[in-house]
Amino acid sequence: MRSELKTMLIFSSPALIFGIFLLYMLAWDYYFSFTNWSLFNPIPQFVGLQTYAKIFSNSITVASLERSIILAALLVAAGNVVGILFAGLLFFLRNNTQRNVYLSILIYPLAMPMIANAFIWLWLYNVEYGLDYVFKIIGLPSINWLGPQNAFWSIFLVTVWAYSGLAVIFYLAMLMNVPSSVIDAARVDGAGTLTVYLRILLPNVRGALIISSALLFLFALRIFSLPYGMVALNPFVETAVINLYWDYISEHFAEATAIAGVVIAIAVAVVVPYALYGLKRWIIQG
Amino acid sequence: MITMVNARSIVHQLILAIIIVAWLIPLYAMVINSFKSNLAAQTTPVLLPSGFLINNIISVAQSLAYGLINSAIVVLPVVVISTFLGSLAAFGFYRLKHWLSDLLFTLVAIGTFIPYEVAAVPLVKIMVYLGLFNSYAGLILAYLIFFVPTVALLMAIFISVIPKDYMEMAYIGGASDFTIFTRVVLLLTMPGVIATAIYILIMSWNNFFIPLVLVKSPSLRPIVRWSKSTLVVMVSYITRPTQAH
Repeated sequence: MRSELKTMLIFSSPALIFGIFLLYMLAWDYYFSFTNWSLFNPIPQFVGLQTYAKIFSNSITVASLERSIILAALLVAAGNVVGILFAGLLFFLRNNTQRNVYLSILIYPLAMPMIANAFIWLWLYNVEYGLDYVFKIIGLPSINWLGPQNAFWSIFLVTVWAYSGLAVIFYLAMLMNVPSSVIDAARVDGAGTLTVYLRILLPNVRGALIISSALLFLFALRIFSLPYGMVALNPFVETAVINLYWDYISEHFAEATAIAGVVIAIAVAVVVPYALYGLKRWIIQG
Repeated sequence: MITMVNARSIVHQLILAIIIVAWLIPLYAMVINSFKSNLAAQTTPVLLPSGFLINNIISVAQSLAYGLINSAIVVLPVVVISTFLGSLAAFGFYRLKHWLSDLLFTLVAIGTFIPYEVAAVPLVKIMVYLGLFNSYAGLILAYLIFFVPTVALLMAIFISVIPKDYMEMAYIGGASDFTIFTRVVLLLTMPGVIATAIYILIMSWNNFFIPLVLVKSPSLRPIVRWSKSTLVVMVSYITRPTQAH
């Protein structure tokens, strides 16, 4: 046991050093969030919870935090719906090649840089030449996609396009693992495709729900390049991490670290149960 | 009966076809517009082709050469080092069933899934302190900090499915832990290693935020940073609605 502990520590130590570096940076965030460090106070002084009080009384910061959480919740909901729906449609395809090609098309946005997506969608959301051009031809009302009221929903649409492929992968992978004998037995009993899917298959893919919900939540929480590239000026789509970035650029370091502290707390609240229950069970089941 | 089954599969195929076409629209728009002239790209419908200028690709390739080289210099060491060190750590976790490995596993998961944007301020300050701000080494170190835990987590998943007998046999044969790692674990999880390396490649190649905060001189910028000029960033910052502080 003792020698195994030593081996493990030797093997893990290079990675642990980087991990400790990361944790050190998070601790650093918390440390300075209790000071008043900024361009105007170059020598940080301990001010207790004042910086937190300041960010929570700043309406733009509070709105950006709320927006990030709402975006995350919406993406979890939409991503799982898309995942269940599309994975089901792909699962019942007879042709393996067709399924693989379609799956690749659904997940290609994951491999695209978000900042490039931002510029492509900026084109598509152009009120004169983008999607609205097509809408006009087929007689639909044109939409001011990036106007103050719509910008958030337009960004949300891009995140669904970009990230829900991830949920499709997990749902499809777990559907493929359900023994076909179970499905055949239900069919013999006269169950239709929809019944088989809802009653037999979906209860068996709860693992996919856990994994994709946690990942989609965290992806939405960290989203920066997309709103930054598309509508950096629009305060209606400013997410928490963009707010943090502006605070950092304008050298309000204490405020930036306090926002970081709040975002870290939200992320850890999602990650820890996910790591302890979701991931570990997945690994043990193997 | 047969016609009903046919009608159903036609509807099934039709729904899928609509979804697939919708998903491809942005890719199509990107390809179509990359062949337009500068003027046409701004004044013709995005979804209709207009002209076929191969020159665009050539002129872009020339001006982006620096960016591509910078990306390669940073990304390739990151992929190799993080894949190796992360896999080694994952094997370390696997070897020992101990409360410590649960703790480390949780820490690795936090490291993987924490939004790295929150570390912007300490990352810059630490890199300045180490004298690595605005350098290849600083970028590589920053990526390693964020991606080595990611590799450890992903490889822990792949390593957990290796049959235990294989490793037992190697131990009985007298192989050392490191030999088992290189000769048994890495070989048996090769598809996983490759998938993880590709994932890290995509994540670091596409990364916009870390170079945004860590690089100041244009000549060091990776390719992704070229998509928005510094000027635009500065203007958008200056004209941004001011925050009440």
